[in-house]
Formats: sequence, C-alpha cells, structure tokens
Amino acid sequence: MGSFGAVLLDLDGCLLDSNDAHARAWSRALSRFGHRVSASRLRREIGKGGAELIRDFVRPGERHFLGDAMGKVQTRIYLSGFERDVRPFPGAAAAVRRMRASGIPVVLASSADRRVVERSLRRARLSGVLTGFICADDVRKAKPFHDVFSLAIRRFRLARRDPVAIGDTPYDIAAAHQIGLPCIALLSGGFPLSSRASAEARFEGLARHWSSGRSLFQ
Amino acid sequence: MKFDALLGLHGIVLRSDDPSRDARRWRRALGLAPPRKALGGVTVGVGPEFFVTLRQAAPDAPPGVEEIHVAVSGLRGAPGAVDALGGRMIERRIGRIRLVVREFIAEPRQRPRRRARGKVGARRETAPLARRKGNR
Repeated sequence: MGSFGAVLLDLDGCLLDSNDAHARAWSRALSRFGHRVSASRLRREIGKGGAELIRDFVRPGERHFLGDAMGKVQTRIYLSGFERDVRPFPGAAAAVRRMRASGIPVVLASSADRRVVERSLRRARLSGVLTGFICADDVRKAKPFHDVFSLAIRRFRLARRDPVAIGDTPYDIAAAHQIGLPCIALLSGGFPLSSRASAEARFEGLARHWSSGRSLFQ
Repeated sequence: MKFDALLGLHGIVLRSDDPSRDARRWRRALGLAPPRKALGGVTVGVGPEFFVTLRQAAPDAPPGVEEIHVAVSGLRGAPGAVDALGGRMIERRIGRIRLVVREFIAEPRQRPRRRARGKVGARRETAPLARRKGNR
C-alpha cells in the first residue's frame, strides 16, 4: 500500500456516531409517505445517497417524483428530532486536527444534505479545520457512485497527492474503487467486518487509525 | 417559469359528464386504488406521483382536459405554502387548460392509499359482460 498525501473522509459513522439516528429518521420519513420500513432494515442502507437508499422500498414512479421530497423530510426529521442526541466519536475530531497540522488536506465527502454536513461539522468543532467538503447537494448521484469522491479530487486538486478515502460503509468502498481510489474502512459505523473485506486497510475508528496508521501517510 | 429539471407529467384533471363512471374506468384500465373525493372531484391514482381527477363538466365547459400537473425540481419563484400533495406550485393558463408546475418538497397531507390488489386489468377480463356494462 502506498503512502497517502490527502484524505477524503466520510462523515456519518466516521466522525459522528449517527448511523442509527439516520436510520430511525428515514423510517419515520418513509412512514409519512405511507411506507412502513423498520429502522433496522434501513440501517443496512445508511451511507447511500437518498435516491439509492429508498430504491427497494418505494415504487419506481414515487422514487422519481418524490425521492427528493422524501430526502428533505428525512433531513428535517433528523435535524429536529435526532441530531441533538448524536455524539462525535471520541478522538475523531482530534485525529482530523492532527492530520491537518501535519499538512495533509482533509476533504469531507458525504452523501448527506448540506445542512446536515454544516451542522455536523459545527457539532464536531471542525468547521474551520477541514480543507473543504462535498455533499449530496453538489453531485447528481451520491454514494455508492463515485461522484462525491471525483468532485472532491477535482475541486481541491488532490489527484497528484495520492488521496485515500476513509469511510465506514461498503458504499464508501464501492464508490472509491470505481475510480481506483484506495479506501480505508473504519469499523466504527457498525457494519459487519465482512462487508468491508475489499478495503485496503481496516481500523477500529478514526482516532485509532491516526495513532496506529500514521505510517500510511506522507 | 424557472426550474432545474422537468421530471414529467404526474397528474391530469378532466371534465366529465359522469365523473364516478369515468373514475371507475380509469381505475380498471390502470389497476389503480379505489376512487376517492379529492381535488374538487373524483380522484384515482397511486399517490401524488400519479393521479387522474374527474370533475363534473358544466354546461358551458364540455368534457375535456381541465388541468395538467407537471413535476419539476428546483422550482424558483413559487409561494412558500405547501399544498395537499406536498408541493409548492406555480400555475399558468394555456388556452382553456390550467398548467400546474409543482416541486414536491414534503409529505402529502393525506396518506396515499394502497394500490388495488391483483393484476392490472384482471377484473375487467374476468367480469361478465353484463356486469361490465352495468358498471359503466
């Protein structure tokens, strides 16, 4: 494995322990459109962009016409009912600060809505620390498609810095590998280890990753 | 009218001399949920993403198309109020037809009804001719 010079970091399940909260917010949002889907079933889909996440649970026409509205309702429910109970993973924000202090560009690349990303960064006290962020609002197709990573590399000129993606879901790995980007998997998001078998490396969480995987970086 | 993308036609309002009869016909043809009173007429559909509403034709307005509802994304200049279908909309009159351009942003006020069970058109194929005629 090479020596990496830039990080494309996922948000939910990496910086924040928020995957369960998102699943519950999706369950509630879908129920408002007449679909009863349990949070535990939706939990496996967290990490995908909204349009992909709802694919198995709604009618195709409904997804086409109402997919954006469902995403907006989920965001509203998450921000008003769940976000206040979400906590950053211990040491995760500090690890990002140390990466930045070491001169490594760190770009957040998330499938979440812009308002969720901005509020989450404030909660983790990382608003002015990151090199920048790319969110679902910036791309046509969010994860598991590669668009958030591709745009992040292009917009922040990271191609020559040997970037690596860091994420907690199989969808991060799939998106990264579509464009030949290596991916480090974090186990903090609660997905089974087997679903991250194809990742280039695996760590318990972001704090642990930086303390024991420092040698992976330039 | 400014918006980002045209998603497609999602609803139509028709004037009919017998709205209940025509609603049953639409329901049978497309295998839709039972008709209900909504949008100022008798409505059949699967949810906000597709509906057909039949309104009673007035003497001065013969049967025909009354409204066409089109869904878009990124609609600009629409009033903030959310309508019963969960959208913000702008209306234009084009000849005798009212064009409604809508961006869905929220859940519908009325929970969508489930689609009718069974195959599309199955009931029409199995119902006796006399009964079918009686339904019309």
